[in-house]
Amino acid sequence: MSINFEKVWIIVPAYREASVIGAVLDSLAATKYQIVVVDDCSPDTTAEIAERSRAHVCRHCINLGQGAAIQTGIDYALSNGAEALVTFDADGQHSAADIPALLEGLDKHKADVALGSRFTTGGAAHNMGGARRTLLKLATLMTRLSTGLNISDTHNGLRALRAEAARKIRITQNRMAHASEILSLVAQHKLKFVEVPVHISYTDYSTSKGQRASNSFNIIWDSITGMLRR
Amino acid sequence: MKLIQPALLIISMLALLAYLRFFRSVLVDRLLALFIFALQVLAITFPEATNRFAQSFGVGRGADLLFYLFASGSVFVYVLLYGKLLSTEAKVTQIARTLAIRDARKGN
Repeated sequence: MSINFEKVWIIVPAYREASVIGAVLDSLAATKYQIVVVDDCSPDTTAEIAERSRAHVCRHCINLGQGAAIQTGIDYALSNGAEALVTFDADGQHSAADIPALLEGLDKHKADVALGSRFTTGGAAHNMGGARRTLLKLATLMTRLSTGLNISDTHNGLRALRAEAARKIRITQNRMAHASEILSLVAQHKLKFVEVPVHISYTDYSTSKGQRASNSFNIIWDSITGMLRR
Repeated sequence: MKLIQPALLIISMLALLAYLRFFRSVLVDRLLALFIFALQVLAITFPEATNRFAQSFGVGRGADLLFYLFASGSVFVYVLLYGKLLSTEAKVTQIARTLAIRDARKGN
């Protein structure tokens, strides 16, 4: 089934992104897609800036984490008739120019999920540090072993899902372990996925906002306790 | 009777009353609480009996056996509380999500 591009929703989870979210939303506003920003109770003006764009804005009344914000965006988009959803980070790492390729990945391969990959042929990670690259490769290896999915990247926030797949993927990991959880659910529900090369640009800002290597332990801990919960 | 014994009995009694008054109302839980209270009373009143009981399990002293039981019981309680915490977090998340979606605003 081909996708009606006017029913594509871009989900932008945001926390304390006042300095960059305006530019990120400007780049998305130039597309024809619907946009929903989920402000995760930012203490700054992230939500106010988002409301000045054409995006829909949901505001969490308490800080819950990126996983929870993405699930809120998924629920909102589905309740507004989304046919496909794209998750897109608010810190400026992702490029709106990659979205058509993700949607084409869904369409062309009749896939349920299109996963953005920095490390597949044609993908790129600009200004990525060596330590981060090594850590991500290790995380990818772990995910391959735990899910059996043949993937080249993990913890990449740029991905597209068909609505039917989004209904099956219920994120319970409120914080950063949601990326692994999504892949586990893709494997569990035997969803058809395709990897699409994307371009991630690391800046001093995004690196300072992003995950520290020391946080890997927390992600692993959340993943293990999450598995016990299921 | 040593001075510590009535003090421990009073603490055990208060703990039982608080449990029955404020927490569980299921009959099985109440009976279990009464059973544990009875064991506490016996252990406090007849400390030598706990030694003999412990020795029948190969443990030197009654106090040691109580410590082992307390340690393993604590692990159980931590797991139980962590489960409750996760379940409460899931409920709070759903409330915050419902409010966020209900009050969503369309930008310009």
